[in-house]
Amino acid sequence: MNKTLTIDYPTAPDDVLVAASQKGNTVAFEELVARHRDKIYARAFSMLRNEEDATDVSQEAWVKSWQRLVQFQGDSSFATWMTRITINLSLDHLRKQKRMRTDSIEQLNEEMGGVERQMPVVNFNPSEGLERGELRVRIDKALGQLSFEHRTVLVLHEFEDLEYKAIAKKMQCSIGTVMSRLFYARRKMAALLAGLKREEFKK
Amino acid sequence: MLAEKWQLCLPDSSGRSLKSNMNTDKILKIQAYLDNELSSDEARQIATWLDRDPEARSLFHELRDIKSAIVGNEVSLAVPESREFYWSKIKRSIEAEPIEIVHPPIFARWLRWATPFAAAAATIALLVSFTAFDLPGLRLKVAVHEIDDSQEEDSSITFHSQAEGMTVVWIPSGH
Amino acid sequence: MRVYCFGSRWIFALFSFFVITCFPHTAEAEGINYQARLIWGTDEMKPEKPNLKELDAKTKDKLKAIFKWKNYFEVDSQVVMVGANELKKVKMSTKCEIEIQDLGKNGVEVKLFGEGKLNKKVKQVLPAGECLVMAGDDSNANAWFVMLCPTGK
Repeated sequence: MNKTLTIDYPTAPDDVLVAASQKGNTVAFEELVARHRDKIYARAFSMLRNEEDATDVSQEAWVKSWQRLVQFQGDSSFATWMTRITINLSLDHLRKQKRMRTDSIEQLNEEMGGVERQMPVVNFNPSEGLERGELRVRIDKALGQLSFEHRTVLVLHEFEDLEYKAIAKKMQCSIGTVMSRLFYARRKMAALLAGLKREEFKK
Repeated sequence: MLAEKWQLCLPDSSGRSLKSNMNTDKILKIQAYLDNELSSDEARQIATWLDRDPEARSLFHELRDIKSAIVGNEVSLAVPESREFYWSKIKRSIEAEPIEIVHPPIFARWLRWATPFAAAAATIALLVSFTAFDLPGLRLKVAVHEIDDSQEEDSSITFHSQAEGMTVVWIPSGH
Repeated sequence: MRVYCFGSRWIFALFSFFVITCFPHTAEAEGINYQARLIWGTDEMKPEKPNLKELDAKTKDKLKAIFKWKNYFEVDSQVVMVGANELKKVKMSTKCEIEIQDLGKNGVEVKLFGEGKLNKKVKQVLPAGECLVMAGDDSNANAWFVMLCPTGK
C-alpha cells in the first residue's frame, strides 16, 4: 500500500503505472487513460467516423483493458496493446452497425471485379503544394469517403503498419481481399486527394 | 519558420485506365512489391517488369506517392470531452467489474508449493507428446480463436464478434 | 520441519503422477459437452408452432446485437458430449443435421448437412465462452441459426 502511494503518477513511466493498475490501483489507471486517451479515441474515430461512437468505443476499450490487464505481459508497449483492443472493438461495432449479413455480394464484387482497374491513373497538380496540416485534414476527409472495409484496411496498413496477413486475420478475410481492398482504397484516395470528383470513378 | 510543403508529384497522365497488358494479379503484385510483401524472386521479376513497362511504372509511382503521402499523416484528434467527464464513465464501469488482481507474493508461495506438481505435469506433457492422447480440459484453456473455413470457393461470409464471443458463418440462400 | 514438508509434497506429487499416468483413459474419455441449438429468426411475433420455444434472453441479445431480426425462437436444443477424436452426428430437424468431430488441439470440425447434402464445413478452435454460429436466410425473410457452444467437460 505504501509503495503505491509513493508513485509520482504524472511522471511515472507506463510500465510502472501498468504494474500498479494490475494490483487494482485506479489512480494509476486513470493516469494511463489521461496519457493515451487522445490516441485511442483517434484510432476509434479513424475507423468509425463518428464522434459519439468513437468516444463510446474508446471508453469501452479502456474498460476492457482494465478487465484484461493481468493478461498484459509487456510484449508490446501498453499503447500498442490498447490500440489493438480498440481496433477489435471498432471492427465489432462496425459489423453490428452494418448487421454484417447485409454486407452485400455486390460490394464484394465491386472489390474483386476490377472496378479499381478502371480508374484513371491520376496526378496531382504539381503547383498544388500543401502544408502538412492541410494535407492531414485532406487525408482525413478523403478517408471519410471510403467504405468501412477500404478505410479499415488503409488505417491498419498505413497507420498501424500491419502486414497483409495480420490485416486479413483481423478482418476475417483472405489476403487476396486485403490486397484488393488496399489497392482500391489507395487509388480512390489518390483520386480524392487530387480533387477529382467521386462520380468520375464510378462504374 | 518555414511551413513544410508537400507536393505529390504523380505521373502526368490523365484519363488513362489500366486496361492494357495488366491483369489483376500483376497489378496487385506491383502493390505487394511496394509493400515489401513479395519473395526476393518475385520482387526481382516485378522490378524488371517495372523497368520495361511505362504503364506499370506509372501505376507504381502513383501507389508509392499516395502511400508516402498517407503514412505518418494521420490527423491529430482529441477526445471531445473533459478528462474528468471521460474518466467518470470508465470509472463507473470498472468499479462495477472488479479485475483479477495480481498478488506476486502469494503467487510465488503457491508456485513454490506447486513445483513438484509442475514437474509431474511436465513429465505427463512429455508422455502426452509421445502417446498422442489429448486432454480436452487442457485444450479448452490454451485454445485461441482461429477459423479454418475449408470451402474457399463459396459465397459464405465468416466473421468473429469479440463482444458477443461468436464466430458467425453466414450462408446466403441458394448456397 | 521444512524437510518434512518438502518430502511430503514430493511424495504426494509422485502419487498424483502415478494415478494420472496409470489412468489416462479416464481423462481422455471425458470429452467436451456442446450445446447444439437450432434457432429461428423472424420479424414476426411468435408463430403458432408447438415446437418453438422462447430463446433465453442472453442468447437472444447476442444474436440481436449482430443480426437484424427482431425475434428469435428455439426450435431444438441438445447437449452432446464429444470425446477425444470422436465424431458425433446431431439431427437438428428433419432437414438439418450437423456432424461434430473433435480434432484435439486443432479444435473441432463442424459439418452442416441440409437434406443429407454437405452444405458447409468449418474447422475452428472453440474455447469456453465462445460459440460457433452457422446461419442463413430462409424463405419469407426469416433466418435459421445453428449455434454450437462448448458447455464444459
